[in-house]
Amino acid sequence: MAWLERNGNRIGFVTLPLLGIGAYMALVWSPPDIHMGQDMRLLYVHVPTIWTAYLALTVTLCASIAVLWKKHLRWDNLAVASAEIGVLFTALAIVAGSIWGKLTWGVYWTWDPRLTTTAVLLVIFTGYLLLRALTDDAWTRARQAAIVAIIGFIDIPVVHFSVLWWRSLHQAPTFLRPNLGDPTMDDRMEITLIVDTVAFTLLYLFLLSKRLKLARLEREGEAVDWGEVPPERAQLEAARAR
Amino acid sequence: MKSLLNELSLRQRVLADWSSILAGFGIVGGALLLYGISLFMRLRQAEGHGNGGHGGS
Repeated sequence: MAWLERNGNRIGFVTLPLLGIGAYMALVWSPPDIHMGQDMRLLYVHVPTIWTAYLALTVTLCASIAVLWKKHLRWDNLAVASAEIGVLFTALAIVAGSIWGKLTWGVYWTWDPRLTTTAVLLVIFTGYLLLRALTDDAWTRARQAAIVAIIGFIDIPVVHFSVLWWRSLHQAPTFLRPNLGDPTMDDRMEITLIVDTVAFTLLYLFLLSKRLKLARLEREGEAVDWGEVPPERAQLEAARAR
Repeated sequence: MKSLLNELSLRQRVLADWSSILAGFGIVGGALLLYGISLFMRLRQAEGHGNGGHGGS
């Protein structure tokens, strides 16, 4: 985590040009799809956003398990930082998907299994962020939030595999598709998708580095407001005393 | 006349497709930019708070 905070700006310097290259490839370089025509260019935003949302919420899951296991509040900083970014990317994946839905299905929204489970995911993790505002005690908040994150994460495999488990309007997964073989895409489309996914992953790491620093400063500020020793420093001092 | 109408309809369709594509890219890019700006503002405020400035108040 300290490494990420230190190297956040370096990641940002790599991310910015890569996002520009990714946008150029998506809008100009990549060929139109034989069935969907130009509409498929939205895939270069939609797939990386949902991938980043999965990644961010998986990090939240791991950090939440660490909160309960290691009982250290720095894992809670990571959990909340990643969850906030995960919620943003989930919402953006729904928006980009809705625009694509309007072009291909003729409607912005339908109660399809994939869309519905993604909306449920957004509600669960928005609830996770709201729940954190209800408790002042740092440990109670961290524990309650960790439990919600672990239970809420169950929805992610349901979202991903919903198109295989149920009859769905949504197409089958492009990647991570058991029993469906390798992705069947033109090389230029595949390269563009990979570049955009890498760019979004780096953007996530950059945002996470900044949000982590904010979470750490907020926790220290919270302790200063109450006239207490910052929780992480208190833990460190208690560990040294033992 | 019919081919002209077909041509116009096709152009209209292409224009509609591209405006939706650019709207998708614009909304995602804009939202990420706004989130980035808000994050930096919150960070600056928290840094001020940490230095005893209480967010400039």
